[in-house]
Amino acid sequence: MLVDDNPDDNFIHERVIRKNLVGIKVITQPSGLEALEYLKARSLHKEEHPDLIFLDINMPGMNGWEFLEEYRKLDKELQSRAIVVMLTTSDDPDDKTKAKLLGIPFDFQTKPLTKEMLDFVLEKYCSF
Amino acid sequence: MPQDKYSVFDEIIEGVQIVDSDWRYVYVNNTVALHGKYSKQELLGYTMMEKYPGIETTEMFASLKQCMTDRKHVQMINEFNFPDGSTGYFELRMDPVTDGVLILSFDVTKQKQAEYFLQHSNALLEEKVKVRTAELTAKNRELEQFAYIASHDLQEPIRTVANYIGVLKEDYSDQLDEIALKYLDVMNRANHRMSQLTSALLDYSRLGRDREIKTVDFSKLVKEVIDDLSQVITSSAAKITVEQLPTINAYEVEMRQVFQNLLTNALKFKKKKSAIAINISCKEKEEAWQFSIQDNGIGIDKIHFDRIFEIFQRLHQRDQYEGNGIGLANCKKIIELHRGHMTVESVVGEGSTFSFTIAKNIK
Repeated sequence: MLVDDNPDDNFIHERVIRKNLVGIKVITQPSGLEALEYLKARSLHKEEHPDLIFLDINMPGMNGWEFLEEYRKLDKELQSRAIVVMLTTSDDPDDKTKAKLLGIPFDFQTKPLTKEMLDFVLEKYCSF
Repeated sequence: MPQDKYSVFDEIIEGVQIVDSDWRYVYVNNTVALHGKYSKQELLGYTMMEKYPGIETTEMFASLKQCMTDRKHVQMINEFNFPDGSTGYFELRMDPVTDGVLILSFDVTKQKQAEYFLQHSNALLEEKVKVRTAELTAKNRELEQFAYIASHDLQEPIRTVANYIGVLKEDYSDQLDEIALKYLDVMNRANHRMSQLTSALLDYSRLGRDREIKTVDFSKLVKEVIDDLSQVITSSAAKITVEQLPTINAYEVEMRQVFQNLLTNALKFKKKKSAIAINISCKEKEEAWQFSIQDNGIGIDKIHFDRIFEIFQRLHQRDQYEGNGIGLANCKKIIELHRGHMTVESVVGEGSTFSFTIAKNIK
């Protein structure tokens, strides 16, 4: 799942994923709130959460951090495999410290999402 | 009458009065009578206490007493309230005479007023400077914040352009002719350059944000910087001599950058034919340490001395010498964080010496 308010970024990131992971389902959400609603609906139907979430931090309305706060409260079983990758332009060291404190399996990458980054994340966290 | 022998003082512009050991007026001249509440006749033969009750508690009276007892010259400035309510200042010179004490008074009101005015305007000026400095500091901070936000927020659209140029090339290369692809390359290069500039500006605006004072061994720091640059140094057969450098308080990370930039410049702007020679030295001054980095490179024309420390200023074509034109601006900003100054001395074709100071008391 890609969560970013910038549709241009979502397009590019989705394209990178589709090009490199054939047959994978990619969902894009334009805001933290909509991403959360989507996950809540899935929880309701006991459907699994996405395996990998690429999350933008600076979004209007609910930003990446606020999304994570809410995300933590969702059904733990359904997100047992989920990895959150914070995707951002910010290289503020405070962000990294903040991310560590949340205790969610996460990674921190600087935009844009590239094939190399995708390979790195997949190798590190996922065994599809 | 005893006052007759003093009649020579009658007309002089300074006040002259003589009191005896009982504080009785023996002589007063016209000026004293004019300044006081009483005429000559009303004063002569009367004591000071009778005419000016309470005078015995004044500083002036204390001086007078001292002169009377010690029989020595005493001098003071006295504040005097005229009968019309205005205040005057008099320099009083008291000297022992046979009849008692002679008090000579000079009107110093004007000097006193000037002095007061000066003090007052100094205080006013200081207050004004304080206010202006605070305003300037706030404005500077605002500007820095502006540079930070601008450079930070510009990165995103620049990145988007780069991404889409990439997509365009990947997906439509076969539909574009050679000229269109060349245009895309130009766009890409310009965009890349813009990205470099904004990130340089971002770094510049962030300089010193997390600065930390440490005791820095500059011999060690410079040696480490030289080690980092060893590849360039070896390949260009540069000879670097380092004189004795002090161990002093400084912002270590930032100072490392200063040496890195200055040495990189010295290595970069070299003359084509001669071998590079760089000398690093330090002198102790009264309130600061002065470091100098001297090279035998191409040198800089005097008219550019100020310009080179400005952000994004370059003196050369990019294909001649690489760079963003921000290195020296960074150095200058860092040196200013150390309450120091950065200067350059240079002769075209002979070399440059960059000097900077680090205040002994940084904070």
